[in-house]
Amino acid sequence: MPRGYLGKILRINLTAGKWKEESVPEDWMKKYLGGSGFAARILYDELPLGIDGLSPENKLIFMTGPLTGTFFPNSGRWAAFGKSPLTTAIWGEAHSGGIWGPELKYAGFDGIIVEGKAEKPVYLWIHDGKVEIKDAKHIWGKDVFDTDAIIKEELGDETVKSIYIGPAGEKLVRLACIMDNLYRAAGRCGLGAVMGSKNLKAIACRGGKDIEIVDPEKFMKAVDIILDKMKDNAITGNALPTYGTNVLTNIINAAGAWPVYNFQQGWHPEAWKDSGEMLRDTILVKNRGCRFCWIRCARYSAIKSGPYAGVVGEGPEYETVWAFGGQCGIFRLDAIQAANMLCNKYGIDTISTGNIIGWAMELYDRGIITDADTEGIPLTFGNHEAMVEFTRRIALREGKLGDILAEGWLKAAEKIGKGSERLIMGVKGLGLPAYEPRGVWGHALSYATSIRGGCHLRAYMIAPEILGVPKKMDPLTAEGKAEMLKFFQEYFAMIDSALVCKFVSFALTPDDFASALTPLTGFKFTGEELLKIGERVWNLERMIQCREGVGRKDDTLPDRATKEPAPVGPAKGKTVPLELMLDEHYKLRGWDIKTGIPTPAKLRELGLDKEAKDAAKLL
Amino acid sequence: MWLLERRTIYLIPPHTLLEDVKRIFKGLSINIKEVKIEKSSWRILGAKNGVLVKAALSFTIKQINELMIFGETSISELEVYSEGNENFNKMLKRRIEIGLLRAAGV
Repeated sequence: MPRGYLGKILRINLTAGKWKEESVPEDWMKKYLGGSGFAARILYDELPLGIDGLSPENKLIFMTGPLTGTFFPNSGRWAAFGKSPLTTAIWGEAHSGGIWGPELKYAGFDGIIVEGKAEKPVYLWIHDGKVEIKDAKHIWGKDVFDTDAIIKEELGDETVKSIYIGPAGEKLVRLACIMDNLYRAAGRCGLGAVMGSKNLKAIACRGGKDIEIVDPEKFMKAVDIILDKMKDNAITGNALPTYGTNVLTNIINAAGAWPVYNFQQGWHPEAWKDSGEMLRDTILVKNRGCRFCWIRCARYSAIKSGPYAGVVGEGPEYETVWAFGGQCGIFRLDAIQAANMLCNKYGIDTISTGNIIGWAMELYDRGIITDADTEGIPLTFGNHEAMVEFTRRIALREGKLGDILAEGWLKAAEKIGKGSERLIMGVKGLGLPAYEPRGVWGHALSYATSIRGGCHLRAYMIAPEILGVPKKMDPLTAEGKAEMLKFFQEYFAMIDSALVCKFVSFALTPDDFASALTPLTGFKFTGEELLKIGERVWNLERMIQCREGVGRKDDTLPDRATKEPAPVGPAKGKTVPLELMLDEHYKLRGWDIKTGIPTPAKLRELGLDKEAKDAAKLL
Repeated sequence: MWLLERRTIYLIPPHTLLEDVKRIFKGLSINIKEVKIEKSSWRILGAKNGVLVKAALSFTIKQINELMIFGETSISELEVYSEGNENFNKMLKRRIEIGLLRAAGV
């Protein structure tokens, strides 16, 4: 068997209260690598069509990859997958750092497939290949911090590593995430609600199994070279350790791509008040990092004075700062960190929560919702108290509007009506993150074509458009963007399958990954072959959504990005020429230009014969 | 037929890019005939089956206005030139894209 894997997936049926081990087919390892690739294979083969994401028929998959838990830098990752109850993308995917991913492997499994629904709240205890389904009645309703502590105490082991949902997941808030090590989150697509729908509160792991390596000497030599490259790199070796992910606020604002007031503009003169430099000078206590992390971009902050004095914990990250900051017109880190800590406590995605509150603020601003909806709270841009209060209300489904917003943008807009759907800043029902599409056109195309919906982590076109890596590209041109995007999407799909932190790829190329994956697994990978795996995974994920009716009509952007010229900043007067770039994107992908469905010929070329037959029926 | 690939690259150390380009050559079995390294530039000359491939990089170290937080960093101008046939040039172009591909999301 190839190495780097445990070779086993745990399948648990919560309805029956039974579990079994299944071997990972060897050809999966070569074709799909792990992580996202394995999950896509399983969901394509097993996910019933047309189901409700919160029904027992949904599958909730947890995966690691071959690099997870090895000495490869930043390998402390895992990811969750399933049908999203939040979006129309079908494919739900959320990745997290923290400490749990490696522990799942040490406990004996590459991944877990959770099926059905437990009759009563339960949690899983997985240790050295053994599995127990345990009563969770006493922790149901507890927040993330209490849950972690109670499980450790109950199992009598401080070193147990757990993932869990908070009250938001239990209450089926569609923005809910799955938390790891108190502060790290598999945040997007509402998979915390899927976990809650299964009455599954937590998964605790502990183990001492080894991850075997085919050629340890070569693997460690490759790791040494890779580490040197990371230390030598301006981003991984300096900027991220020094300022954390919030190094970006001033950079992105200067580029006119920092969304403000629900994406009404991409620049604000007070953005610096939310910046990484300000964070470092004011609230930072110390740097932290995930397991096996060599970058340590996480911040640990404390608010020492003012209305939020006493708020202490990890963060805030760049995306979080933007979501509760610029998106809501708030330029003070104390309020942002207070909202962030509520999200951690209750287990809810910061990007989604900030985005949807900013949307509600614009609805309030335009009179689409009123004091009658907000129960007298003036939900105006810049009102930090309202922002923090609505973070809590959404997480706990409190109040009329809190409960509506907890349903996510699309369902909330159905209830609110009055044209509110036109002001949603999202794609496929997933709220956009911290980059204004009118200021970065390649990134806009990335949003439109991301499999999971409005997302910056399926291809980070900010790299060429603002950071000048792997080559400097003009952010306000369509030229060359579709081609570069394809490379990025495939590279990221591969990294999400090998399952390490994407930040390493600021310093590393696919060839660097091949130099480590080859001695680890025994497969003779090249950078080219790894990108081919990425392309295969991307197409398989695409077919999961296409067979349920998703296609070109869904690969779109909010009207604001394509029809309203940017009012200020470097992109002033510009809109995104999306349709032009989409045509080129589909052509390069070998997809049908009219529908956005992969062609059978492309799928056969990637060894996806079953999917090719299915695609032929769709076209 | 000829191929000329030109790009400006920020933030990546020039010596790292040198190793990348050497690996790109190696991946296509291009024999490296000469590597010349100077204070603010390097050059590689390679050949395969009579096909000449040249890569040259010049760089400056300075502060980039829009990326001031990084302090002084490298701005590299890379050129790769080949006189191969269409198929070879296509392969070389793709190897350049993959061999230099970097950067993730925050």
